[in-house]
Amino acid sequence: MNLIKIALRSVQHRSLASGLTALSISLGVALVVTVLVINGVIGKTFRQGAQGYDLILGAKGSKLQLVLSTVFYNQEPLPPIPYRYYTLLNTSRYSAEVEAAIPIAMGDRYQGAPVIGTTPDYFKKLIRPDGKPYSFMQGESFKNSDIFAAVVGYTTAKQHRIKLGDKIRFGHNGGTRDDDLHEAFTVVGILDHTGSPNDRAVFVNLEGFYQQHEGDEGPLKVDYSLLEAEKDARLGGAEDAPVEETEADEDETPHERRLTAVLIVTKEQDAQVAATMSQIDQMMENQPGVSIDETQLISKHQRRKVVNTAVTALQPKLEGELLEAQAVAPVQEIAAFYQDVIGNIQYILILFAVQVIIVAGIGMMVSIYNSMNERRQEIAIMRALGARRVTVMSIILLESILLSLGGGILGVLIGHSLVWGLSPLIMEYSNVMVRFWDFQPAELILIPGLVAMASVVGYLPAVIAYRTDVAQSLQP
Amino acid sequence: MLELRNLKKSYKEPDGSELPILDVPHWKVDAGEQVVVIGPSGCGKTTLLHIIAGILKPTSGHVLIDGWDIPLLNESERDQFRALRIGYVFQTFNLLQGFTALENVMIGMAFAGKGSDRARAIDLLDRVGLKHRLHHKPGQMSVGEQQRVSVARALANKPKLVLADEPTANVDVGNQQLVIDMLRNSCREEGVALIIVTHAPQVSSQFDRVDRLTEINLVAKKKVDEIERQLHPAG
Repeated sequence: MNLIKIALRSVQHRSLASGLTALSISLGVALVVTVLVINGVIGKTFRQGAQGYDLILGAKGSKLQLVLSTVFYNQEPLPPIPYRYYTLLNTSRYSAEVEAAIPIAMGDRYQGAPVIGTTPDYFKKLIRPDGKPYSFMQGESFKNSDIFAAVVGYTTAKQHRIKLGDKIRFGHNGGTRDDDLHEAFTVVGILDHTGSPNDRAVFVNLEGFYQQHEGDEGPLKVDYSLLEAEKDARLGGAEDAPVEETEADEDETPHERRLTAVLIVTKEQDAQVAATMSQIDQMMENQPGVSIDETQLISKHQRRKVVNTAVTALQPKLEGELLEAQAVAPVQEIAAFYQDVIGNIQYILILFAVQVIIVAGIGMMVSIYNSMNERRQEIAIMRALGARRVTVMSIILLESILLSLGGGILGVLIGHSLVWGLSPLIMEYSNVMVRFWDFQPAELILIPGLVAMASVVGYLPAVIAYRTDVAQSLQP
Repeated sequence: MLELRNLKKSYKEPDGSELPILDVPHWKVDAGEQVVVIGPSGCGKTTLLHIIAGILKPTSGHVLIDGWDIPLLNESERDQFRALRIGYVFQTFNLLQGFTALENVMIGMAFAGKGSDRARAIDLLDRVGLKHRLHHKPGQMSVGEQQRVSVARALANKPKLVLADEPTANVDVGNQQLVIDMLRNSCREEGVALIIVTHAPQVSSQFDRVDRLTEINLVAKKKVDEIERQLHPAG
C-alpha cells in the first residue's frame, strides 16, 4: 500500500461527502472548460474565417455588417454593388495589387443555408481557412459552362442527405412553398469539412444565380447586352485612363447586373518579402534556440504584415475610384470585433467560472475540515502504527488533491459533453462547428491550477492532522 | 530486551502544579518473554504502554529497547522505531474503518517503509482464522474477528515487542480466550516479547509472570498505601 492508495481509501470511505465535494469542483471546471472551448473555437473560426482573402469590396455602410454577412453569412447582406467593379478589378489597372478577385452574390437560402452565387475561381484561387486548398469529398467544382450546377458545403450536405446528382431549389425564403422557385440546380460537388461557415453554404454558378432571378424586378436583374458592352468598354479603354465615376455612372440602369461583394486576394510585394525574409534570417541568427515551427510561424506572421501593407495601399485606391463601394480588410474588422465584444465577454465568463471554482475549493476545505473531528482517532491510529506527522499530513493533502483532480476530470468531461451537446445550437446560431475533442491549450492550466488550489485548501485540515495528539485521541 | 530505569511521568495541572503519574525505578522484560501487568483503573497502565511505544515522552528516565533509549530519539525516529519494532493491540481494536482486514494489516507495513508484504499479511490473517475475511471491512466483522485482525496487524512488521492494552475488555466471553491464545501463540511463534495490561483475573491467571503496577509504579503504590491508611487508620 502506498500513500495514494491510503488517501484514496479514505476518500472512498466518505464516498457521499467526497462525491458531493468533487461534484461541486467539477461544475466549476465544466463552466471554465465550456467557456474556454466555445471561446477558443469561435475565436479560431473568427480569426481563420477570412484567411482566404485580404479585402472585401462591398456596398458602403457598416463595415462589420459587410464582414459578418460575407465571411460568416450571419447578417443580412448590404445592398449590392455594380458588377462592373468586379470586371474592373480584373483589368490591368489593378493587376499590380490584385492577385485574384472573386465575385459573390447572396440573398437566397436553401433550407436555411446561405446560397452563394460565384465563379469556379472561388475554389481555385481562394484557400480554405486552415490554409489548405479547397477539396471535395465527392465530385468537383462546377465549370463556367455548368450554369445550373451547385457545390454543397459539408454540413449542409450531411444535414439534408444531399448527394451528387441531386436537384436542389432555393429562394428568398429558404426554398419554401412561398418562394418563387425557379430552376433546379444539380449538385456536382460536395466540399470536404473546412471547419468554417462554408460548411453550411451552398455555392452555385453565378450565371445560374442571375438567370434564376431574370424574372425578378430586383436589383440582380441582368441585361446581358449592357454587360457585354460595359466589359468591352472597360477592357478596351480603361487600362491607363483614371476610372473616376461620374454622376452618369451612379445613375444606373435598373437592368444592370449587381453583386453582393467581391473577395480580393492581394499580391505580395516581392521587395517587401525579400526585406522581411532578411529580417527573419537576422532574427534567427540572434535566436539560435528558435525551432523550425516557430520559424514558420514568424514567416507566416511576417507574410501577413507584408500583405497588410499591400492592403493598406489598395484600400484607399479602391475607395477613391469606386465611389459606391468600400473596401474592408476582414481580418482587421474581425480582430477588432473579437477584441471589443467577444474578448470582454470571455473575460467576464472566465472570471465568473474561476470564482465558481474558488467557491467550490472553499467548500472542499470546509468539508475536509469538518471531517477532521471524526477522523482524529483514525489519524491517531495511523500515528500509533508508526506513521510520521508529515505522513498523515501528506495523506490529507493527497485526499484534497485527489478530490480536486477527480472533480477536475469529471468537470472536463462534463464541459466537453456540454459543448458537444450544444454544438447543433452553436452551429445554428454562429456557423461554428464544435466537437467533443476540441480541447484548448488553456485547459492544461487547469491541472496544475487544481493541484495548487487543493494544496492550499487542504493545508488547514492537513495541519490539524499534523498536530493531532495521539495519546489523547486513542483514548476509548 | 526492555528495561525501564528511573522512569517518571507527570502532567501539568491547570494551576501549574505537577501531577505525577508514573515513577518506575526499574522494570525489565526479556526477549520473547510474556508478561501480564495488572492494576486498578487510573494507576497508569495505558500511560506506561504509550511511553514504552514512544507515543508519549517521559518526564525523565530511560526506556531501553534493544539498546535504544527511546526518549532520546526525536519524534520522527520514535515513529519509525515504533513502526519497525513494536506492535500494538488496542482495547477498542482501532481498525481503520475504510480499509479491509487485509489492508488494515498491510497499512502498518506501508508506514514502516518496508513495502507491502501481501503474502505475510494473508498468512497472519490465516493464522488468526480469518483467511475467509480478507476483503471484509471492520463493520462487516464481529468484535472478536476485529480483535483478531488487530492481533495480525500488530505482528505485521515482525516486531520485537507487542504491547496489548486490555485486549479482551471489549470482546465477548466466547472470544476472549481465543484472542489471548492467538496473541500468545503468535508471539511465541515469532519470538516476540508480549506485555499485556489487563485487570481481568482470568487472563492474568494464565501467565507465569504477573506484575502488579501498584508495585512497579511508586506513584500508584503511594496512592494504594494512602487508601489503605484511610481504610485502616490504626494499622
